[in-house]
Formats: sequence, C-alpha cells, structure tokens
Amino acid sequence: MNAVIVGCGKVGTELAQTLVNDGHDVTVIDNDEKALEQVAEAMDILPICGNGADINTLREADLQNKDIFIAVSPLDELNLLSCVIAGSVGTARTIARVRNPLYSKETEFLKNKLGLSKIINPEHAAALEIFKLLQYPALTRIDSFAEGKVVIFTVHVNSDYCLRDKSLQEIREITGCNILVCAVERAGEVIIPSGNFVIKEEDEISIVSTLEEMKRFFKSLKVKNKPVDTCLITGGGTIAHYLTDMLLKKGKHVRIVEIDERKCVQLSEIFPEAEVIHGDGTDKAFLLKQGLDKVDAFVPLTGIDEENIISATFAKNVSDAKVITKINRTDLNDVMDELHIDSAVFPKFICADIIAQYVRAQDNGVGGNVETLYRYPDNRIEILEFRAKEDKELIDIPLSKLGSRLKDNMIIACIIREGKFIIPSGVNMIKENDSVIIVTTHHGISALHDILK
Amino acid sequence: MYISIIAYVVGMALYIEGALLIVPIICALIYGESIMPFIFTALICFGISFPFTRVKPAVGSLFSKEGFVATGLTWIGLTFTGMLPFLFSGSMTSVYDAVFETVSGYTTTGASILTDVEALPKGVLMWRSFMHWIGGMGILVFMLAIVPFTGGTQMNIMKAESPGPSISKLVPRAADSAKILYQIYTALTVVTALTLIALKMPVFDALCITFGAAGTGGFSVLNSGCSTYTIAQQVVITIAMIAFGVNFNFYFFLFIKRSKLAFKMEEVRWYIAIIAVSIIIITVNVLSHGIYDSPGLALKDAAFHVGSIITTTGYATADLNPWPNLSQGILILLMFIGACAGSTGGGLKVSRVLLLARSYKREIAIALHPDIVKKVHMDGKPVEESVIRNTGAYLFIYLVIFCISVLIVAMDGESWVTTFTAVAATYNNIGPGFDVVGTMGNYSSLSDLSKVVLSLDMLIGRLEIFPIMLLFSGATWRKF
Repeated sequence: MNAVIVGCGKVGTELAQTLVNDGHDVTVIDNDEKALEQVAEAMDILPICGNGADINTLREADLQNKDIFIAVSPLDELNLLSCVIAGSVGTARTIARVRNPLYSKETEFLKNKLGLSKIINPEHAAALEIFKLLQYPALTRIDSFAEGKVVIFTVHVNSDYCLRDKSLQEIREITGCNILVCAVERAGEVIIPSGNFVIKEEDEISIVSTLEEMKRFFKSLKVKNKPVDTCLITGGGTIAHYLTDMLLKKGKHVRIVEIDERKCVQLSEIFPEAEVIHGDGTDKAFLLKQGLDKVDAFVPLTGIDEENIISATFAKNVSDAKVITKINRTDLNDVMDELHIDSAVFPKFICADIIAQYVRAQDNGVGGNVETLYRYPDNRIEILEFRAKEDKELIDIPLSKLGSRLKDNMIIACIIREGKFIIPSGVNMIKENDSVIIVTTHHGISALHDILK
Repeated sequence: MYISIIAYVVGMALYIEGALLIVPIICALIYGESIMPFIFTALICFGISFPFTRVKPAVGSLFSKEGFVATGLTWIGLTFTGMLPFLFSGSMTSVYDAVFETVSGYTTTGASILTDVEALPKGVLMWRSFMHWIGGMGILVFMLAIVPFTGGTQMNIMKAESPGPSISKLVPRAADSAKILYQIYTALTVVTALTLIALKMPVFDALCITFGAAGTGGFSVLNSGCSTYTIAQQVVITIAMIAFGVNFNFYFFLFIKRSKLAFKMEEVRWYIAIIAVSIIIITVNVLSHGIYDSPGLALKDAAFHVGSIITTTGYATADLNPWPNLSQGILILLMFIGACAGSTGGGLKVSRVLLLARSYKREIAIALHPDIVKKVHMDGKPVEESVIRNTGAYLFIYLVIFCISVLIVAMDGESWVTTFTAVAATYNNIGPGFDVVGTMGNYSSLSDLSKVVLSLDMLIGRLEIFPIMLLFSGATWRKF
C-alpha cells in the first residue's frame, strides 16, 4: 500500500519503520528539514518538507494515488485539519492522532463529521494498557486476540514460581491448564521454544491461552494475581487523568502526587473521589509518607523518563507493589529489560502499533490477511492473527506433516474454530475460516502461506 | 567504517560488469571475431567478486561515508577490469592508454587516445561504447534496481553516484526509483537507436552512437566522427544528446502525467534557454566569418556542437579549430556549465550555476541592505543554506583541482589552448577540446603523466569530486 505520514517525531518514525518493514511505500511529510533528513537517512522512504495541511504539499506527495494518510504531528488541530484536506484531495483513508482529553470525549462525533477513518489517542491507549495490567498484576504484558477470546500474556519467572528448571511439557502437566508457551526471552535473546525446552529463573515467558485458563494457571501455581485495590500515581498528566478515570469507575482507591498546585486543583475538581496530593513525586521520603511501601500498585507517570525509572527502581526496593512505568523515549527499551521493573508502557509504541494494525487490516482486501498484530516493544517478536482462507498448501493438512515445511522460529500458537480455542498438536489441522495465531521472529509476514519455507 | 558492506557493493558491481560483457561477446560472435578477451575479462570479474559477495551484509551500515567510499572504489575497480578487453585483444599495448580509454568510456567522457578507430575489432568498439551506456546512469544505480537490499540506507550509494547538488528519490523506495530511472533511460535509448536505424544508419553504428549519446559519452566508431552521417541522422543525434542532458525527473513527471510540474522545472527551462541562445550566437558568428555558405548547414553544425558540448557528449561533425574565437569561447563556457543535474551529462550542472548566480544576487542585496533576510529560491521553493554552502565549496575545490591539473599537463609543452581545453574537456567529461585534442585530433600524443592526471580528472568529474577525494583522505580510513 501507499502510505503518507505527517510528522516524523517518535511515533511517525516508528510507524514509518514498521510500514516499510511490512513492505509498504511510505512518504513522510514534516516541517522540520533536519528531522526529515535523519529519517530519510535511516530508512527507505520519500521525505517531503512542508506543512501537512498545505494542499500544495499534499499534491506534491501525490496524495491522489495514496491509500492511507496518517497525521501524527504534535498538534491535534493540524492533524485533524490535514486529514480533512487529505480526504478532499484524494481517496486515502485518514487517521489522526488527537491527544487533548477535551476533544477525545467527542471522538466519534469528530470522526464522523470530519470523515476520518480513525482517531487515535495514544495517552488513552497507554492508560488502557496500564489499567489492563493492574487487573492482572502478575503479568508484565497482556494482549488479546479473536475479539478478546484469546490472550497472550507475559510473566517474569522469579522465585515466586515453581516453574524453574521445568520443561514446557512438565509445566502443562503440573498446572493441568490448556496453555502454550510461545516465546521465551532469556538474557536478551528471544527463543521460540519446543516442548522439551527448560524454563530458568529470570526468563520472560509469553503464554497463549484463554482468560479463564490464565486465571486457573495462576491459581494452580499459587501466584497472587488479584486486581489491585490501591494505586499510587505520580505526575498528574493526561495519562494519569485517563487512568484515574478508569480506576475510579472500578471502585479502586487512587492517590495522585502532583508537583504543580494548579494541576492538583484541577484534578481534584474533576475527580472528587481521588486523593490528590500536592508534592514532589520524586522525593523518596515524601513517597514513603504517601504509603509507597503499603500500596498495591505504583505507577510513575511524570513527564521525565529518568525520574520515572528512578522512582520505579526505588519502589521495587522498598515495597511489593506492582510497578508500571511510563517511558516516552522509544530507544530505552533495552535498558528497561535490565532494570527489572515489572512493566514498562511505551505510549509511542502503542500508538504506532495500533496504527500499524489498522493498516494491516486495510491491507486484507489487497492481498494480505493479517487480522491483528502485536509486537514486543523491542520488535523482536511478532504475534499475528490470520483468517485461514482457501489455500491448498495449508488447509486440512495435519500439523505434524506441515511441521517440517514451516519456517524456523515460527510457532502456530493457537487455532480458533467457531469460537473454540485449540492449542494445536500434531494431529490438529487448519480448516477454512479458522483464526490462526502465529508467533514468530520473522518480520513482514502478511499472509498465512508466508509461514511456509 | 564498515568494510564488509563496501566489499559487497564493489564485488556486486564487478559481478554485474562481468555479466554485461555479454553485449560485446554477442557483437564479436556476429562479426566472427575472437570472444576470448571478453570471456577472460568476465571470468576475472567473477573471480574477484566471488569472495566479496559470498556473505550479504545488512545494508543498514551503509552510511554516507560508506556510500562515498564504495562508489569511489567501484569506479576504480571497474576501470581496471574494464580495460582488460583492450589489452587482451591487442588493441592497445600501453596500460596508461587502456586506463585512459576505459575511464573515458565509463565516465562518459569520450576522449580517445586512438588514432585509427576503425582498425579495432567491432566487439572492442562495441564494449567501448557500451561502457558509456553503463557509466551514464551509473552501475550502482543499476545495482540498486536489480539487487534487493534490506536496511533502508541504500540511498547513500545513489547520492554518491548520481550527479547534482541534491538528489531526491522519485518514489518512496530507492530500488523503485532506480528502476524508474533505468526504464526511462532504456526507453529513450531504444527510441533513439530505432530512429537511427530507420534512417538507414548501419545497425552497429546506430547502436554505438546511441550508447554514446545516451550516456552523453561521445566515442564514435568512424575516424571521421559523425561528419559522414546524413543530415537527418545528425539532427536525430543532436536531439537525442540534448534529450539525455535533461534532468530525468522531467521525464518522470511527464510519465506520471504531471506535465505542469515538469515544465515548471527551472533547471530544464534554463538549460533549453542556454542551448537556444548559444546556437543563435554561434550560427550568426560562423556565418559572418564565412566558414559556412549555407545558413542551414551552419545552424545544423552549431546546434550539433552546442548540444554535444553542453551535454558533455563530445560528438563532432566538423573541425572546430577554424571556428571564430567567439564561437569557441562560447563552447568552452558550455563545457563548464554542463548538463542538468539528474541527467547523464557532466560539467558543473545548470542547477549549480543557477544557484551560484542567485546566491551572488543575494550577496548584492545584502551589500545594499546589510540587515535584509533573503532566501535563495529554486522551483519556487527556498533552497536550504547547506546546499548553497555546499555548492560554493564545490566550485572552489572544482577550480583548485582544475588549476592543478592544468599545471601538470602544461609540462607537456603543448599550446595553452590544447592544455586548457584538454583538462576542461576531460574534467567535465566532454571528450574533445580544441587544437591538438580537438574534434579531429586525439589524446595519444600526451605524456603518460598527463594521461594519468586526465584519467583521474575524468573520474573526479564524473563522480563529482567527493567519492574520489575521500579515498585520499586519512580521516576516511581512520577507525573512529
């Protein structure tokens, strides 16, 4: 497909890279010549310098012949305006990033009135991600497939687990749960394991199952996985705003520490049930005074990555709380792996991922058939959902026969047939109209038959 | 410095060169000549490229520096392998001569050391002309079009090999851009060749002349140059030369039906304007000096040579030495201006001259109003200061290299006209100069030292200085 991206900040760059890797033609528009040059130097895209809402710039980008138009500049209004203009110049589907909470209440209205295909709010998406993790504190990540019927979750194997030094086969027997370990991250390496693979302490394992099986899995291992009741947030920005809203609606107890008194007043006006504390969220003693050592979950959401990381590490030392850190910079994910903070949420990645998913779904009609896609933040693993169509090379063949023809580092994690969830073994086969979930270290797989050698 | 990616690029280019030797081989087979010189050369190319291309490194490490170095080394490698057919076939005995002729071929200069072109085997002549075609658009651009690269920094090769102050892609993917360029290039070449054949030019001549015109090279296959071809054929060659000197973006815009953008390109407009004015002045000038009787013939020869020189092709239909000084002067000026950026021609490029003229105009404005804020514009858009700065620096280093070359060649003791135009004609990739190295003369009488210097000038001129000069800079080879 032909895509145009307006804005080459972190999200725009990340998105451009993903789309190029997926084999799309990408044109990037930005005002900043320097930033544009850097992106063009690093990847195979067409840079165009100009304002994304300028009709001449859009004509120069040959918008008449593009399929998708994505506005992710820092300005909501510019994004909306350029999508409207793009919609009138060409036939491309338009996606705008809108982050102001004020507008986000009218997302549907804006989308319909302005003729956009999608409005994405990265802060809201990040808050949702954090909220999901607070529901299942034992997880470091959770993603859902097939309309939420199937989940892939990641746990960090620490001393709480009796999984250490057990093979995957044994784990299934011990827990008696219908689960499949589809990826293991060990010492920075990502492995797609087979049945006799042995789990060690400090591994990050990703598991496919249903939501119920996941709950049973933790119960059988006697690992605490109850939703958190109390939550301490530092930094009262947009994400905190959305998150507080979600938590309060679930009847949780929320305490927000914010350094700016005016913001404190605003927050307390909007959320009378929340405890808004005026103070420095990076001050250790102050945090302890706010009950850091007793709280269920600690979520640092200040605007400064370094402060978030420092207070998260401190929290890990003094309490048992579930810690979820927000990181703005996309290049810090390697460092995060080594710090052993429970979970980190990268709003920019989430935003780029959601858009990339949308683009892939649009691509379905054009030949590919990816339904959903998730990537690990460091891009080493892709989890894809396909709808199986008529394909003689794949359909109705037992997987044991298919096995040798599959690419390396690729696993068929799950087959969903008529709403039923099947962890495949050698005797199973893919049938037409099945949803198939693939976990792989290969990039740019866009159709089910790509999984064959 | 990532040596592995450079080795891969150079190896791949040699591999492609070996494969392209199929063209002279076919030609030699048709004329019943020995194909062994080409077979040996191809085997040597494959032999050298084999160890380099075994492992394919990720192209992500191909940064600007690697792009320049790979381009410089590729062209030097091409020279030393491309000259082998001349030596193996016994057409030339001196290595200096073979190097000169090969560099002249690849850089699309068309300066020759041969005194009797017609004595060469047809296969060798075909190779000589075909080198123009390969070198015109560039072998690395060809490589980008046919070898799949992953990683996304492959533009750095294209930037280093393609002439012009700033190179932009036509479409998002570098490989697709390279393909489009070669499609335009091939289409124009085929049209030219077919037209010449339709006008009853012998097929061999038509192909060689077309390759020379397409690459803006200028090797001819007759001792008489292009003077014995019919007037219709000469007119076609004139149009072809001028067409290949146009920025290829122009054709791309026409191709995607955005002719408005195409005709708005200031560089192309100025290029056409310069050609038109030069033709008129020279026609009037040669007529008033009584060199031609018929205004039609004068116009034809003036147009042919203006087209030949500004596009830096270097074909000739007449001996220019008797032409009046004004005409010669204009032609020498055109040598330096050169063709459009993004074409196959050489020289300073019309866009650079335009930029320099406009930044001069701005300096005048600044002298009058020191606080004025003014941008240089091109195609209705402000030009980045870095491009202007780069263009100024380019002009300076261009002149320095020119002066040094003139001084070295002057040691041969030829006339000043010979010395000056020999350097100008090789440095700007034109071919023939005036006097001894004029359209009816050649470079064989120069010393070996001069031939080496002029060979280097041709390479530096074609690759626009930096890829070659970087090879001689210590900082390039430092690890950190």
